[in-house]
Amino acid sequence: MAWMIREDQLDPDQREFINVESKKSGNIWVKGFAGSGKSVLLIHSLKNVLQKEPNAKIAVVVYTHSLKDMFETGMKELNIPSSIPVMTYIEFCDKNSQNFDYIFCDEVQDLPSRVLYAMNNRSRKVIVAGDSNQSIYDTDPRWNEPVVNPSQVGDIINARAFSLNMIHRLTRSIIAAVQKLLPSMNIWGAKRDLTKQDVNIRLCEASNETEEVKYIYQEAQKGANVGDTSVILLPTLNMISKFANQVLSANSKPQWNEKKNNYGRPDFGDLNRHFKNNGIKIQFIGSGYGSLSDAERNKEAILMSYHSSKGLDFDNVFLPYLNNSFYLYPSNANTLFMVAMTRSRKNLYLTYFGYTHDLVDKFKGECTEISISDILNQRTSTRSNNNFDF
Amino acid sequence: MKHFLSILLRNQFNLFYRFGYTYIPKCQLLEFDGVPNELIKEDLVRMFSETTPFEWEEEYLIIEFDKNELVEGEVFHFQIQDVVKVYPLSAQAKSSIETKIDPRIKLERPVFENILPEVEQTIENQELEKAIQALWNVCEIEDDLNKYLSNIGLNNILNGLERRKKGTKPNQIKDGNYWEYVLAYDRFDYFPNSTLGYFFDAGQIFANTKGLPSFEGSVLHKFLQGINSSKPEIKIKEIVKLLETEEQGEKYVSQTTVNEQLKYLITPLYLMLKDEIRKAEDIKSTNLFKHLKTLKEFGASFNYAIILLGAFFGFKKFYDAYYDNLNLRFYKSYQPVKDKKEEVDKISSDNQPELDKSNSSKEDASSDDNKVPEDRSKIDEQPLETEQTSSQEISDSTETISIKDKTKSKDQEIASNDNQEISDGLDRKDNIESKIKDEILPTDNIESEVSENPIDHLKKSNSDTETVIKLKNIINELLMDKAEMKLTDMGYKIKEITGQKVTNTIIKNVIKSMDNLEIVPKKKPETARKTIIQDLFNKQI
Repeated sequence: MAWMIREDQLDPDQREFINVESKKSGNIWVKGFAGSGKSVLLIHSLKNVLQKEPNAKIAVVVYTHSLKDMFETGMKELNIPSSIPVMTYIEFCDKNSQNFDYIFCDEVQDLPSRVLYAMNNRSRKVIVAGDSNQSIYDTDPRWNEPVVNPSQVGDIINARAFSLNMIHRLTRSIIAAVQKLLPSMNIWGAKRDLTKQDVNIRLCEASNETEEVKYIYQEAQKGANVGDTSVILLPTLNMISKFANQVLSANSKPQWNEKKNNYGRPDFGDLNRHFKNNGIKIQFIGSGYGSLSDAERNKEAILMSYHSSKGLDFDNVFLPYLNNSFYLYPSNANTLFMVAMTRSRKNLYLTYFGYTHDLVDKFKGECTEISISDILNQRTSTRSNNNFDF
Repeated sequence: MKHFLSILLRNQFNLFYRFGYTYIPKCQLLEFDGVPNELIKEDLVRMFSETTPFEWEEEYLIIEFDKNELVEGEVFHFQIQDVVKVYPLSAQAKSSIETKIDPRIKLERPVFENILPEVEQTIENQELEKAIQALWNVCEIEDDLNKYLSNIGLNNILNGLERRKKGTKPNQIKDGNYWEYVLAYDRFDYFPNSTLGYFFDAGQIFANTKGLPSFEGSVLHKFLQGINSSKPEIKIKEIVKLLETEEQGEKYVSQTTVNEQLKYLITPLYLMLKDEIRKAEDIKSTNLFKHLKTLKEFGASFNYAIILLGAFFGFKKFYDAYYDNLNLRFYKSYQPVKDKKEEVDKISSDNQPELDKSNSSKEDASSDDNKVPEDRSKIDEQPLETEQTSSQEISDSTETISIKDKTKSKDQEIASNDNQEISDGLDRKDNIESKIKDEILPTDNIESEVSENPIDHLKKSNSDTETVIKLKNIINELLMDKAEMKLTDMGYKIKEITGQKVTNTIIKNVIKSMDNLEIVPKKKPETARKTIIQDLFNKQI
């Protein structure tokens, strides 16, 4: 991520925030889709505060350890003293005796209300960033309390909202699809920036699930073989087990008998060993199992849940089983699906057999339609039928 | 009551709102009957074409005023109460601006939204031309840009970008020009992640131009796959050689060669550099610049690739590097050119004490040697001669400076105008600058004291060896964060640091004795750079 930005490189929203909004008194809630520059603006705002008040007591509160690393890197790049603590929201709540002049907080939509109350009580000014459209958690893992809803964010810390609407990370095709999936989101791409590698959204129809899974594995392998990162995303752990066994079956390998770990959940470490022992180049990553670098090194496709993929990018993303019996909890179905489909940098494969799911129907016009049967059966004939003169 | 429309930058409108009044020049004011019509829209398009361009639609507003009468003049005064309506340029702009302005302000429906495509097209065309010229300049290509540009065809480039804007993939293009397919292309297939992969891309593009969805199954595909199996890390020059010499590449090469346009080379070269620039924050840190000299060996093909790269990325990607090259007068790093006369005067006055000092030491020596007065008079004459020579040279230089001053005003035009003369103008500037400096510097006393081989001379004593080491250190420092530096500029910097003038010849000889630096071959004015490590280049491309 580029942390150093200049005024001539900012979009109008970002410019307004830096030059005007961040200088006003009162708490602020910076809303914006992933890739709109929220985190960068948060850090620049912090830097401005430090220039005016070098002795101000400041803290940065984030959701995960990986975000903590990311912020520390950015702050170092901008010469912000390392004495300014960056902590997870759990660390912040555990150190409840510390008060601050300013708190900067990212991914606020994933926090329970108690953290927002604590920030408001323990700081003179709070600037939070996040997007309720991206909230995919119902409860937080520490206290198992519900995460805040959009109206609570503003109310609890009495913050005025500031929206960043320009999306710099997503490609033209994906933005067009998201606009149709979530029209109320008001996200816009930088329309004159034609330099980004576009994503090819392939809507792939199979004549049965076996064919669908076979095709996914084949394409994911092709990607992994040329150094692309490929991920197969599924919304539930049950569907992950189902997909794993269908891949095994399609490759004539023994089924995986699901084992439970100490918490009574599927032992995906055992699945990974089963894949490896049978020469299946897939690795499950999530819930503490598997490793991205290990998968990349071994040229393995990644199997992952929709939830775990948040914040990550892959060259090729596969979303299987998207027919009309596909089920997502209605409360956040659109958001969760949007999070999954915006993970791709190069190819997004939406595969199904039968009829497409309503979610897919919303942006079907943005997709290249592909028949998996044709591809699996016609590869040889396509080659021989073409009259190449070169 | 008279009705007017004017286009205002958002910032200008904010200040107008804050102070309650503003001034609008006559040329930015459009009188109309209060009802927007097609004629008004044409005038608005014209007004946009005559004002500062914008990247985001929300950066401008169209303001409707009414006023009983205007006092005749070139600039008109408006009060905030003269504003009748505020029009955003688009629905998107409306919804974004509404979140940022005083909520009491009512933004109208964007009734002028249909002028946007034309306004934006004009801006994009300018952007495209500027980008190509900028990259051409930054790469210091001396060939005539127009010739190459017309061979590709500006319209083909514009069409390609338009297709990209619409998200049209090359396999969906029907009967387009070859370059449209190239510009619209993104890799979605699983081609090798190596230099060879870009030749697969080119094969795919070529198949698309023939209406085929893929080139898989062609002789070329099999040939490239064979190369990939036997030599996956093959370098670009070797691939080109194989294509040009092996039978399997023959038909492809012949069909993709039009005069000097070697499309089988230009396309992978462009795609490879595109990937390189795309991921870079600073284009000067890319292989394009690190290995510019080697890339230039591809000749016309490299030039065509540069045009495509300029068009693809736009001015936004290159203006940083371009402005560095322009030596902008408002930059802290600006090297004044107009002050040359002063500089010459300064050098002249600097020379005098040195000459005097030289005389005095000679005087001392002559005194020590009990030289006869006649000899002294001869010695006295020598500085006079030298001084006369210097004066003559300075006079010549001053004459050159007057030319230079003219060039400077030309430079000012260059900074604001995008015309083909940019690179020519800069080259001219460099040559004149070099001439001035080269004429002045030989008069300095170090030069006169140094033998034909200055290094040998400098090595004569320990202190001289120290001088060489010092010079090496300074030169290394100067080239620390620069790709290249002119010897004359080095001379100035060295003088700034040491107080001593050193000629280009000395600098050149010092550089020749350094392993990590070299003089750029055939480059005028003479320029030094870090030695290019060929192996590294081979590894990376």
